[in-house]
Amino acid sequence: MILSDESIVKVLRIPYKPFSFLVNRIQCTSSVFVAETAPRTERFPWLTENLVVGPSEVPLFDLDGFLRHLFHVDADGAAHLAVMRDLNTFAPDVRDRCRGYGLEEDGAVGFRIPSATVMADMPLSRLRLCPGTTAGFLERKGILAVSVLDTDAMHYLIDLDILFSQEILETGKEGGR
Amino acid sequence: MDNAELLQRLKQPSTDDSQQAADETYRKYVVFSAGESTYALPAADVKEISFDNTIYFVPFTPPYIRGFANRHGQPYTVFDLELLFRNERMESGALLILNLPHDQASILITDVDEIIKVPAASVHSLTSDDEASRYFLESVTLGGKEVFVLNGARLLERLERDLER
Repeated sequence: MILSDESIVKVLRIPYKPFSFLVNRIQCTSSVFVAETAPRTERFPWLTENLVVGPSEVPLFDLDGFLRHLFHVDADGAAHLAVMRDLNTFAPDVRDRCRGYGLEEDGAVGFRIPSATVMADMPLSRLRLCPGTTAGFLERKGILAVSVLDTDAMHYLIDLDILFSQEILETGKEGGR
Repeated sequence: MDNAELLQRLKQPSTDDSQQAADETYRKYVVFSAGESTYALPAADVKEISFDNTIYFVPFTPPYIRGFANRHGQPYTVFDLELLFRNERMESGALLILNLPHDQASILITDVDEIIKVPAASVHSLTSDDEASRYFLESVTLGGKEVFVLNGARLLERLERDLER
């Protein structure tokens, strides 16, 4: 199915091999360079370090490692970038889960991503829903659509909130990776 | 012949009818190999035969779904029949793109063996009602062996059931 709309959606394009991920820009408050980190005393799968930002420390989830693990992709360079998100912008159930990680409700979290991540304008006409039988199921899992940027290539439009809530935080709760 | 006669001959239904009647006594299939197994599909169920495809892994799906392939700017679900039926993973980049009205699906194949036209008498209904037989429409006698004709719709039904679990 083609989303035949000439509107543009601003995305982050997060590169891996053999394909990249697209995240809607509205799911990211800001991005920073990961200059300094500090190990956490309480560690979870995908959350073992804090990002040092001035005098503060912000929990830094390893989104890079998670995506490589879940999607069986390889790194395409180092991951020294982080997208930041204010916790109060997440849905209430996600904020509840974050409390289980000891995260402050009025704080922020970071997600480590490849340094080669770029912002891009994605025409909706370049996006396709996932194939029929899989579409609704994958949408609920956080894989919303695919983009067809090149002749043979394919890239996934993912929902950061869903993957964060249903996979990253759930994995931590269940204690597995 | 002049154009009037030409048109008249083109519009003659009798030859077409006899040709169509002849066609109805024959059925056309795409015979393909998937790993160690040989299957057939009704030719009308095959949109395209495609080689050298890259298959992009998709998480959360059953093991027999190897991922998605991009054909002409459209994603297609890739079924691995060897994994589905024999629990053995195939390595290939060749696909049969299925002709489906409301979905985009493909089958991972080793190669297309032949495209055949067989007399209807060589096509046999399946009498077994077991789980495996549900994926097949009928069987065709080829070179003394029975080749099972795949039912593409049943693959999608199986996927839908597995995703709902």
